[in-house]
Amino acid sequence: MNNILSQIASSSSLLLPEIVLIIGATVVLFGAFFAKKKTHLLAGLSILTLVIAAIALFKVPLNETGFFGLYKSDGFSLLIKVITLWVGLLVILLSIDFVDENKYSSAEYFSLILYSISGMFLMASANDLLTIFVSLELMAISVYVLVGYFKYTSISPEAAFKYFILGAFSSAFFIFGASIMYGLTGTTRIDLLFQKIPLVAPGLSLFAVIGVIFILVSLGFKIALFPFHQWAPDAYTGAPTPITAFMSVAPKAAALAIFIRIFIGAFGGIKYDWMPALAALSFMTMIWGNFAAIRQQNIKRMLAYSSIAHAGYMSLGIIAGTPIAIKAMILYLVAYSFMNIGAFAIVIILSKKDGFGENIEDYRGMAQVHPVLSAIMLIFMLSLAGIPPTIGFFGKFYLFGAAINSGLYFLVTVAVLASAVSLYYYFRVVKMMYLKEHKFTKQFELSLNEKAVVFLTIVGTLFVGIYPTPLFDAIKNVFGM
Amino acid sequence: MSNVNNVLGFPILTIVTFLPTIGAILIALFLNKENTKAIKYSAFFIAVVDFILSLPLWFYYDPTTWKMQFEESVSWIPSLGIRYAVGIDGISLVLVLLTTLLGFIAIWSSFEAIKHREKEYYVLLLLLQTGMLGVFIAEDFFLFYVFWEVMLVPMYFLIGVWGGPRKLYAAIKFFLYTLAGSVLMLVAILALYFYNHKVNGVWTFDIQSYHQLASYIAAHTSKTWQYLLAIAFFLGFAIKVPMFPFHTWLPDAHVEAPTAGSVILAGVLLKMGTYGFLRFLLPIFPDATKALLPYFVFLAIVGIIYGALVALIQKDMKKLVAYSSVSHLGMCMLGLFALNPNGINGSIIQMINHGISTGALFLIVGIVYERKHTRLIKEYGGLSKIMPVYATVFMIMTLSSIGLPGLNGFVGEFTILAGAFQAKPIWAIVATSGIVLGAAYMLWLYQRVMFNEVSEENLELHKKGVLKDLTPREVAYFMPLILLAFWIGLYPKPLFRALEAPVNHLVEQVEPGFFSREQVKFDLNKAKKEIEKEAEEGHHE
Repeated sequence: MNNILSQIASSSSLLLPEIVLIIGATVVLFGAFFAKKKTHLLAGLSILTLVIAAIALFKVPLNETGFFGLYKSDGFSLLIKVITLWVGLLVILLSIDFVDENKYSSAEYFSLILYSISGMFLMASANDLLTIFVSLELMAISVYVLVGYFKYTSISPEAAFKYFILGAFSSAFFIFGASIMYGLTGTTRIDLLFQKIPLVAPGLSLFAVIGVIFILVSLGFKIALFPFHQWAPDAYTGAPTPITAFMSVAPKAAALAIFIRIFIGAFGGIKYDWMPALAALSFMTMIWGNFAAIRQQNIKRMLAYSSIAHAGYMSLGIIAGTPIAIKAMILYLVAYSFMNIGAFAIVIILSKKDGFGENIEDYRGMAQVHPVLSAIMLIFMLSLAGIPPTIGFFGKFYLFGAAINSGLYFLVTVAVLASAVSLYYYFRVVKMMYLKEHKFTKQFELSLNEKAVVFLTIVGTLFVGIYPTPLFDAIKNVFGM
Repeated sequence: MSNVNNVLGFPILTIVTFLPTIGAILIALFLNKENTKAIKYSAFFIAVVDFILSLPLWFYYDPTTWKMQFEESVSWIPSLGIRYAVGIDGISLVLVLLTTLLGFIAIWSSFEAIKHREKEYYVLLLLLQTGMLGVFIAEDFFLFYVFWEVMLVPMYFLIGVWGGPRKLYAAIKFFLYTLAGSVLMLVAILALYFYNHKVNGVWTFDIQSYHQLASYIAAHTSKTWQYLLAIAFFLGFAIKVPMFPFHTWLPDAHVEAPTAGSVILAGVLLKMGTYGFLRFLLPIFPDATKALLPYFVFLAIVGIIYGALVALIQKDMKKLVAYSSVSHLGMCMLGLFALNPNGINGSIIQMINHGISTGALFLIVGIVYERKHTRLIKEYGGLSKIMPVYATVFMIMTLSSIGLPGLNGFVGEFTILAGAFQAKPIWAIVATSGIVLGAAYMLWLYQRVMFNEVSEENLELHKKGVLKDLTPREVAYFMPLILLAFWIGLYPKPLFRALEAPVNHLVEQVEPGFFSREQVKFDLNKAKKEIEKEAEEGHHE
């Protein structure tokens, strides 16, 4: 008993950022009693929480395992956490006006974002199937509620419901797969699974296969791989737009983290057994995501399908499975967090009051009225399509390079051709802004927080695209390679 | 880290390449969009200065070596071994000069033609110029690819905003088509990058070191791997050229683009494809190229004849010139695939010629279009009577395009055919039919537009001053092209001299031992003596 307590006490420093986040989230939640309509104050508190969590994050010792090996702090988890914090910060900034205008109760809104981020933090570091499951649920339940936040419309609760039902299915698959793994090996710890699965797999291959498939299906739901992606377009369209932006990056980053932990960490020994299946899913995801995006008229839906396609590209990093490929995947996530949040920021700014700007058609002639904002949107679209010199190009370049280095020629060829297709739908927005006749009359002012988000994302998109070395070195240093 | 290595002692290539971008940024930031005159003249001024700055390259170029000159190199992304490294040899040199020349002519020719969103238009033209120049000077594969892609964006807008009725379709088709080719090329570049690391243990995108790897690749990798990579490069470049059957984006893009866009497209952009073949496919994959050569040559020859035949039946002047481009570029490709000095020299000279003649022909079509807003051939006729100066320029360019001796086209086509004949006589024989067809469609076009009676309507338009002869500005921007056409036609020696060393080096890379082989030479004196001897023997009998 004493041993357990001392172990927990010594490990708790590993959890410092998560503790900060949960305390901060609770303070913001109770803030509703004292400052009911003070959106700015509560947003400020949330940002403060994120900042303290960031400081705490860098105080946590790297490469340590705590809580009897259930929890792990390494460079990989640190990078994923930085990405989720960063996205959380941008989304909170983007949400302020949105929440204010729609008269949401801001306390719950911001605290749910913080709770979900704490779930993502736990996901990133979890080193055990059960820890993963619990943290996954903490993240997912918060996001289900956020998706349904437009409760006075019909579309938002429907989206939340769909997301919730499919999310619950995914959880069930996960726990089923995990229980099979436990039955086979007698452990749920990632590192022990890695040693034991190859030993039991040959004899009990059917069960091992079922277990792997169940977990693959469940994580496929989480990062929206084809054919488990159906919830994504509806949930993305129905959710409040800042939450859509949030969902497109942060939960995906965390889910990719556990994907890598489980498939490289636990199932790495039987890599060649699951690789074809994941390769097939990735292939279909890239094709389906891109071709379905072409048909969309609603920009949120278009970005939803495009994010499915991006998940397809990123899964190349898991299939390749080498340290370079994982680094490349993280770089891609960073790139995606800049360009996708940036694009969503423009959508949010445009569609804030009246929903005008949710359709691609609404962008008709915008370049004539708002040349700067249009140019910024153009750069985000170029970056999403992977045209240099943008961060999106660099992300693709590095990710595809790593995949080629692992011999995935066919998948990379599909990926590059699919990204050429993606240009078509990203450039529909550009076409509307620049090439269509002037019809745009909406005037709007950017608030300071919106300006900050646009500035941060565009500078990141361009600067890193032209000079990626600092980001590159940062990832390299943290990753320890 | 930073290293400038050239006779001039300053980074001339970087300045020439980025001056247009700096100009574009200044115009975008400091000129009001209402002030179109200032915008036009600043853009023109920048382009002219850029052209003048590029001239020292020609004069200080050392034709005795194939090595890269005017080199500059700075580390860019050290962890991946990516450098900002530029330099030129004779092949790049002529293409850089062509780009800067056509750059200012394109801007000059747009003064009257572009009537809306002028600021964006000139900014984009200048940005485009940086992209194109960068492609020709890059010595680092990554850098090359960045320029190659960056250039697509301004062109997309040039076609999409200022183009004809089907501009949106043409713009996206151009973009998607060429992007699809270039991303495949990217895969091949990455594969080479990792392969090079495996062999040499160095992370680098340096093009020269890939050239040095060529024989190792040929000896140590599987045929399939070589073929796949060669085909990926081939597709990237063949779409850009464009070779048959990847040419379908070209007529759309040409017809819809504004005049200056077409000039740049035909004059420079297509050359990026042929340049890619010369710089990358041939030297890095010589074996795979030679193995696939019959297919490549087949496509080139089909392109020559198909392009000419389709040009023959066009009703729209611009479409006719566009299809003639397919034919001419097929000729360039044929010369290239002859893989001997004649063929490759001819091919490069023909690239320049095509830039001059077809660029000029697009300007010529643009001029009547600006005046009458139609490009249909049947709407014209007898123009030589009311626009004599125009008729003269048109005549010179027609003759240059069909390869009349004394003009540039002849030199190029003759050298290509000589090279093709040397490689395989049947290639030259078939390709010659393309030249005959070329003469047919161009002369027929000239006849229909220039001769016969002037229609009442056109006469009326002429009297109103709408269908007027060339203005001094128009004559002025044709002059450099006409002078060049004659210069290359009459005295191509400097051009051949500039190309000699790099082309010979290239041939040696592709066909090692080519120059040491016994050359069959025709000795006139020896032949005479033999004939006399035979004749004497005959007398004695």
